[in-house]
Amino acid sequence: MRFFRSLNFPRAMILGSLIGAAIIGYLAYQRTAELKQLETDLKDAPFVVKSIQMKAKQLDDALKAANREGLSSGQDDPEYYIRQRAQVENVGIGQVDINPSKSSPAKDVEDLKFKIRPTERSTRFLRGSIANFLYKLEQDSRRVKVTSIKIDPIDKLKPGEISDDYWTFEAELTSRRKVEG
Amino acid sequence: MAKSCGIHIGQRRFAIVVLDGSAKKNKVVFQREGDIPPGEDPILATAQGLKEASKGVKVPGENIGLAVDSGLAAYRTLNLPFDDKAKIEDVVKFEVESQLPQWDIDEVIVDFLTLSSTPGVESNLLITAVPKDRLEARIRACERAGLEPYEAELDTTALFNAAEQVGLLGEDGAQVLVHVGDASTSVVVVDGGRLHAMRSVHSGAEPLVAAAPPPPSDDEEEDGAELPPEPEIDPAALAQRRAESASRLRRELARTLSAANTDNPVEGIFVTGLQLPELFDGPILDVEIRPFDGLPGEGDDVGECAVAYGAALRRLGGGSLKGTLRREELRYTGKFERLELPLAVLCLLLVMSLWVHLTIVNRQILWRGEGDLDRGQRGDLQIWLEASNAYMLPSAEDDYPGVLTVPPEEIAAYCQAAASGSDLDRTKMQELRNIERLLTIELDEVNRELGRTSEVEHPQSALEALTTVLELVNGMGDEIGRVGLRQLASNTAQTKAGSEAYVQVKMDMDFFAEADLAATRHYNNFANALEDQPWCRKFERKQTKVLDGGGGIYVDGLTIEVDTTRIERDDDEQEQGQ
Repeated sequence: MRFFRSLNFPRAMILGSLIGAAIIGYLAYQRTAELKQLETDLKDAPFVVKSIQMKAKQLDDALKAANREGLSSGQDDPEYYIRQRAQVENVGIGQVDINPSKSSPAKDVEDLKFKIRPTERSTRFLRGSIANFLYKLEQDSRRVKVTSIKIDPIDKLKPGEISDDYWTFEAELTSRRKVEG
Repeated sequence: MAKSCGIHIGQRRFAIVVLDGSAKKNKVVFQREGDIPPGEDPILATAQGLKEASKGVKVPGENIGLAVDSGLAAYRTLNLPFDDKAKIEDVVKFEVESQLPQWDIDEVIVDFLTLSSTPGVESNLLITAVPKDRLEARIRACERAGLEPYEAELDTTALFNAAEQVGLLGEDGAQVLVHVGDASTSVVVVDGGRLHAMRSVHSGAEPLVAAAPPPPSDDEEEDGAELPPEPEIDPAALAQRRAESASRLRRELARTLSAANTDNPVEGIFVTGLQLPELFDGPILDVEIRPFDGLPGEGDDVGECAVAYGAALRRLGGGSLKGTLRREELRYTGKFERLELPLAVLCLLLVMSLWVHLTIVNRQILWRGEGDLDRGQRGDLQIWLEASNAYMLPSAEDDYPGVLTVPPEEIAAYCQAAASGSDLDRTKMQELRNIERLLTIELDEVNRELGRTSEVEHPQSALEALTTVLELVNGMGDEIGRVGLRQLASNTAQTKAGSEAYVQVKMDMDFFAEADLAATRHYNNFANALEDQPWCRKFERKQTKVLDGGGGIYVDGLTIEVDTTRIERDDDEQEQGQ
């Protein structure tokens, strides 16, 4: 009460000003810190934007690669991928039987395996066709590996006998992926 | 124990008393009186005298009291139909204005003392009026001497308080208190322990000798005329004048006694201040006149410092008369009070400058950050964000394919939201970084789909292992001669975690040559070449057989373990291998 009795205009002004200065000073301090952060951000902005553009380019490339492999969304089907490669130019393998299976070589890792055989066992292939087919399978996707190849002459040969260079084959394609525990 | 200081400034003399103790029990620890040295500037001269006399006196400012010569003041009585002090304060100056025609009411300090009152009905006041300039001169003199008084009063009230302190004022008697000053004498009439009347007589113990002015009329006496400066003193003339002063004072005291009209009989006239022996020449109107003693002092008595004692006592909380002459512009202001207005202005300036700073910072934040999108004003970071989006995303309007030709929906939607300022939880830089984060997540996802991530080690390629072995065969030329392959198999070994991965290549091979020995040499060359390869993990030489009919040898089930990670690749192949 004594304090309020002696509260004349200058004192009220001092009191009000000090309270106001404390509030505004706090706000100004906060906003100044915000401004300093913005100025720092502004210096970093060119680098962040450059990084965004690089990542966008990488993502674009990756999406295009996924499209090429037929592994983009909606086409994530390895059997489709295999059959497509069996029919491209310079391969001409034609119809193949695909027998999928799964195994787990390690914890949280899953192998999707696809045994590939010509549908017609008696169909003969040139070495080049088989080689191109297997090459295309690996070349067009980084997530698959040819893990088993067996190439036999179409007619069984005795030692020293010269082949007429027609062959049949069996192959296994493995797609390994991490599975979430 | 508190200390207080009382200062009494007369026309040509001053007195200082320092008390130590409380209002009830105190002692005089310092006592000085002296003449105010002559000088052109009375303030400076008084200050000089006070300063020299008060060396070593250290008393807090709030404990210094000043009593001024009542010769400066005019006394009036006033009856008001109420006794509320606050109301009296409000009206007293205007009520008494008509009784002080000699002064401009704005140029005087008006104080009042209550002589008697009937609660809620009326009050009888003794009004004291002092010209501001004269009071101010004395206050400034004290200030310059380093003894600024917290309060000022007339010497009559200080005298009353001093008499009250020594128990002189009995409730069943009346007393006349007299303080003989240098140029004037203060008279206080007390009746039944209460103030009855006050007056001042312009006649003191050190009267002017040469060019003495004519004695003032009664009215002039009451009006506090300032005396001229002290002239040269002739001792014989001085003695004559002192006798005249004493005589005149006795007449004035007789007038006072006859006009006092007290309820109680007057017990005596008690005189203090400067010595004026002629004053004690017998009773006045049958009232004994005697010295006012009993006050403590450095010697036996406080002597002429009684008024200063009363002023000092008041600052210790004693005394019942509270004269308050420091009013209006002469009000006591402490150091803070003097600084408070400049401080207030300074504080206001501080608030204003902070406000301006805040406004500027807010504006700069707008310029640097998002800006005001509603008004079409874009901040720097907003411009970066929009430029980044424009460069990254395709635009049908501009026929621009964009860096990201088919942006994932989530990324495209967030980019649009960020550009429109819809993301209220993030700053612009956080929005940019979030776009970068979303791109990274999407890129990792696609890379994982594409098997480009290193989080899972892919099995070794049976095709690569077989091709590597066949390339070696093809590259050996004459060292291996003509060979025939009757069966080829290549299988990636199923190894356990932690063990070394490899591919097992199995071949049935014929080595043709004119002589068996040459074919055997070719086989050995091939075997040696295999063993020299870094990628050849294991190779077991097999026994060879001679072809039927000669012309070479053959080996069935030739087994080679190949570690494809050790195959040397050029940069492009290496990148693909990863």
